[in-house]
Amino acid sequence: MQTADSTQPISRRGSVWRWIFGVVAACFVFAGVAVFNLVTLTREATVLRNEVFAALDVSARTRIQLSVGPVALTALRTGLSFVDRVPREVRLAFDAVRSASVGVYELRGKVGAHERANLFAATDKKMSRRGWTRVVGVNDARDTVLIYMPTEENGGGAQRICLVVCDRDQIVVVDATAKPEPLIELAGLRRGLASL
Amino acid sequence: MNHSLRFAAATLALSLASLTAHAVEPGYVDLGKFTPAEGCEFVEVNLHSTVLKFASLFVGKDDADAAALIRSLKHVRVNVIGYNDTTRAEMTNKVESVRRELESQGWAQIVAVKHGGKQEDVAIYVKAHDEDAIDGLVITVIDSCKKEAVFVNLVGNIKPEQIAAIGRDLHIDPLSRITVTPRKGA
Repeated sequence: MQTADSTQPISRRGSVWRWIFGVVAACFVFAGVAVFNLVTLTREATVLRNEVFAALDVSARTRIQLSVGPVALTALRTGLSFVDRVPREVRLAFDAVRSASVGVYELRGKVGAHERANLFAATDKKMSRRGWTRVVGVNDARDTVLIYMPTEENGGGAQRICLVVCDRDQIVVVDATAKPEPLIELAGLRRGLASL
Repeated sequence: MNHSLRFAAATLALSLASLTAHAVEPGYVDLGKFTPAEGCEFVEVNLHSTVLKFASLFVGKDDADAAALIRSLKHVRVNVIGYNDTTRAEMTNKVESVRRELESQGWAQIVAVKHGGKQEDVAIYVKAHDEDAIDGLVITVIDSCKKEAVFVNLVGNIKPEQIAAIGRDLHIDPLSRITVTPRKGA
């Protein structure tokens, strides 16, 4: 009886340590996932990037790969609201962007005109299967630009786009969601500043 | 079970209705898919109403008339397709076939310009809704100097007197120079 009483606090202490270990481990896992998400592209941007590399038949070195989701951006916006002297343009930019995933890749070879021409058909096919429509496509001797938007029209609010820009030296892939109103205000502000 | 069936039928009917509505938009022309020719310039812009509303918000700050004009458009498609000696015949045939198709579907040709023999060949067609409105507009150009073909399709409720303004706002030169008075039933 006495033996059982003396072991109870030890067992409770062990249980508390298990909880502490669990919480710390969960924090590490959460931080790991957050860092992984921060340095990898979103699913749509990854698909677009892979399709572009396959169509262009060229290898590339990653220069920048960064994704910022709505939670991180909301935290940033909240943080900014406590800071004075932040330019209005910066506040508007953060208010406009709801999520962003950007990848910049340095090309290790030359992209031929034939591959650039084929890029359109390949990426269109892949993206349309995933519910995206190309709204802009430009191809000239130097640059190739493809911009996709969701095929399903949303009534308003934040708009999502996926785009890829390929010039002679690098490829830029972007998947972003932005609200139009702050962007319009930002554009107006830029025009106002430019006219000064 | 009956409820589920009714729900499925209603969903199917709505989906079909939305598909049909898009398909029978009177000013819309299916120009088909274009891909760039090797080493040639290629520009494609394909904007639906959501993007046009978005664009009108940007323009609206400075020019309310232009914003209203862009809002009245339901679809804008612009293709500039450069061609080389290999694809020249294919592109010329495509332009000719689009023109024939428009004529057979009752579109009225309002402009036909041929500069320098056959160096620049411009044809503009409209689908008139009534005397006061146009459902759609198509511009086709073959420019042998620049070695490019141009297709433009504007869909919406366009007033004839707005055509020149659309040309100015969207930087479509052949449009900015014309005025249109469509005939009824054209």
